[in-house]
Amino acid sequence: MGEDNLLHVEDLYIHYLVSGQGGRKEYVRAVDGISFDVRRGEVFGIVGESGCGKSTLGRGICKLETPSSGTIMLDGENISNYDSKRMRPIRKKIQMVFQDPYASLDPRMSIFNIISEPLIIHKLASNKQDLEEKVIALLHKVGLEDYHARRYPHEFSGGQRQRIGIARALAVEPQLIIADEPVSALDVSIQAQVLNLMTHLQKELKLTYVFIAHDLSVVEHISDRVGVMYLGNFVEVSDKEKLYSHPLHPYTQALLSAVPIPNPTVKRNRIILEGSIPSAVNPPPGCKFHTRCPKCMEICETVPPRCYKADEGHYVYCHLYDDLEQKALYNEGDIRI
Amino acid sequence: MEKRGHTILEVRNLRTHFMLDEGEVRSVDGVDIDLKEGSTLGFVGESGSGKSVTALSIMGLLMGTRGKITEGTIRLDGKDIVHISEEEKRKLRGGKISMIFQEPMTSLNPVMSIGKQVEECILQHEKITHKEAWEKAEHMLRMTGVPRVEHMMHEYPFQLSGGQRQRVMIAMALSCKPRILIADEPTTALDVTIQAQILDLMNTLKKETGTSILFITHDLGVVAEICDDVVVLYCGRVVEKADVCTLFAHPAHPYTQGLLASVPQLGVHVAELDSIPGNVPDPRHLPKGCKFAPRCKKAFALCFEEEPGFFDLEDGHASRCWLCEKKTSGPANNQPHVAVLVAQSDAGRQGENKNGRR
Repeated sequence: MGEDNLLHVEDLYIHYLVSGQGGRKEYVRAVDGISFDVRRGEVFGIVGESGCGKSTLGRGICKLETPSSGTIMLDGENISNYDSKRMRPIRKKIQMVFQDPYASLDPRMSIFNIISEPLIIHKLASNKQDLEEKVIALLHKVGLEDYHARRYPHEFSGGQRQRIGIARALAVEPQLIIADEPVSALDVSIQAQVLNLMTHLQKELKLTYVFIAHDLSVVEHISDRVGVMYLGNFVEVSDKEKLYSHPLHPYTQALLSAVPIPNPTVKRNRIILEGSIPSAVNPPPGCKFHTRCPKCMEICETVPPRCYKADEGHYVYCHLYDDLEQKALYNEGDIRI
Repeated sequence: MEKRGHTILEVRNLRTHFMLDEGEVRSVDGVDIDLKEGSTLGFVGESGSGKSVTALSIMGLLMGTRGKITEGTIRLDGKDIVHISEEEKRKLRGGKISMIFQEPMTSLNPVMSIGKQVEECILQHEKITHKEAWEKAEHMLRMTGVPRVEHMMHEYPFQLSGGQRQRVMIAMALSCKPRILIADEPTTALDVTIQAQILDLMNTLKKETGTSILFITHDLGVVAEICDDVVVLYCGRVVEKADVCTLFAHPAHPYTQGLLASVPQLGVHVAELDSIPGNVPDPRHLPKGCKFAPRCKKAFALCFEEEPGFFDLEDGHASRCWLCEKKTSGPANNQPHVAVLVAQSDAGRQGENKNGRR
């Protein structure tokens, strides 16, 4: 893997066992063979609809879910088979910010205790005074005040709670932050505040983000590169500019056309997809999107598409681009998306 | 605006207050609505702005809460619907006015089959047989485009996806051909592709049935997509109203301007989003003067002292902001003494602000 890659994920599968009918074993194929790299200092956005496996992927990278198979390399270290004990020092490098700011903070802990906990666990403060100073500095960093440290989560609004969640993640000075829908529970005006804070912190602390969201406009705003997920796979991965100006996969095109634009004078040709996302227990054969795809061909129903390099930094999994076969990268083991 | 038909729902100076142990919460404090026949009115605001309470007040669904309409009138087709008996209200609900809610899972009965639920609603309002009602329910579901209707009639809500449940809600709401449909964040819990389907469906059904829609949402993109007119709420007050094109092109109230600027837009690249500082104030301790003043970048002394009136700007466009006072021919509720007072004591600062506005 390249020097500049902080995270390297290869052929990652995360399947959950659910009991099927008649005691048969069935698996929810939440993440179904995903490979990608995240470069140091970039924001990699992951978008998709509910049930596409984006949160499972995020939790899988943090090893909060156990991968069924595949490789996760963080900073050159293969962490895919680490148990929770060996993961502990790794968590200094990788932290997570969660979606629901109401559920992710312990209501019985003061803000001081919430933010100091990771510092104590990882022995990052030399004494009590040092600990206090560090917590106060973190609070300031996320735009909160000293006196907030004594308060409890219920005294804060959603936006402030999300700031506390970010401060907690920053406490161990991580390199990589996985943010799983960090702004989707917030009001519009507060959402902008938190997004600005995250962008600001990323620049100041040279952080790397994996930013998971369902809102395409939010992902476009914050990301450098974006991966679009559908039923456990990426369908398109690209630099932000290319993905949003020239979406290649029919799913990406439909998603982008479905986003309501806050401008009543713009009238667009909307691609309305039929039906809803199929079950991840029995995903359709071939290309998983073929059941809803407006451009479905015969081959799509049986053969899973390969990854094609359409342009520098622009990759797509779709049979429409089979004429790019000579550039197919799927089996070369050199896939660098 | 007048060409779009007459006003079917008229709400004047609506005040709905909740008597809580901690004190009185004025969730809705002076809301005016004019819903024109066959049009869609967007009702925009953040959480706590009073949009859902307004909807519940119109529906007469405040019983069982500690809320009470303390002032104001709600007229449907010119007829008062606040001071009528519970029985009459029951006839209105689902008949002339119906409502769809944000979370379709919690608003459908989990232990009743889909067919029975839609049928029940029809039987409430029409004197027809079970068989006819069942057939009508089937027809309504088919109209909303759910797959396998015959099977679904016998299925239960948990067996349906979010989008399908919302379609069932719409089928139920439209089954008695209501004059008004109140949609409270109907697409917020849905994915974008499903949201596109539902918005498309609502637009089609509106054209077919001529139903007027009061569309409650916080998503400005959705507003631009399906609304004709828009009302912006903040802390239980209407801060701006306009037709949709005017609102997006020339927002007059700083809150509306802030909202529009804080939404990331597809294809528009900015290093930093324009955010509104601070939080929505606690409804029990609202600030004096303009409720938005503490978060407003353009606020000046008067804003913290006196609440602005609702100033008319031009045809159908009005804004509750002191900055709009100058542009207007005459404020809706004129308070000349204040204006004079300000002109004397605060002339300098006001001038500053006027310049800063451009």
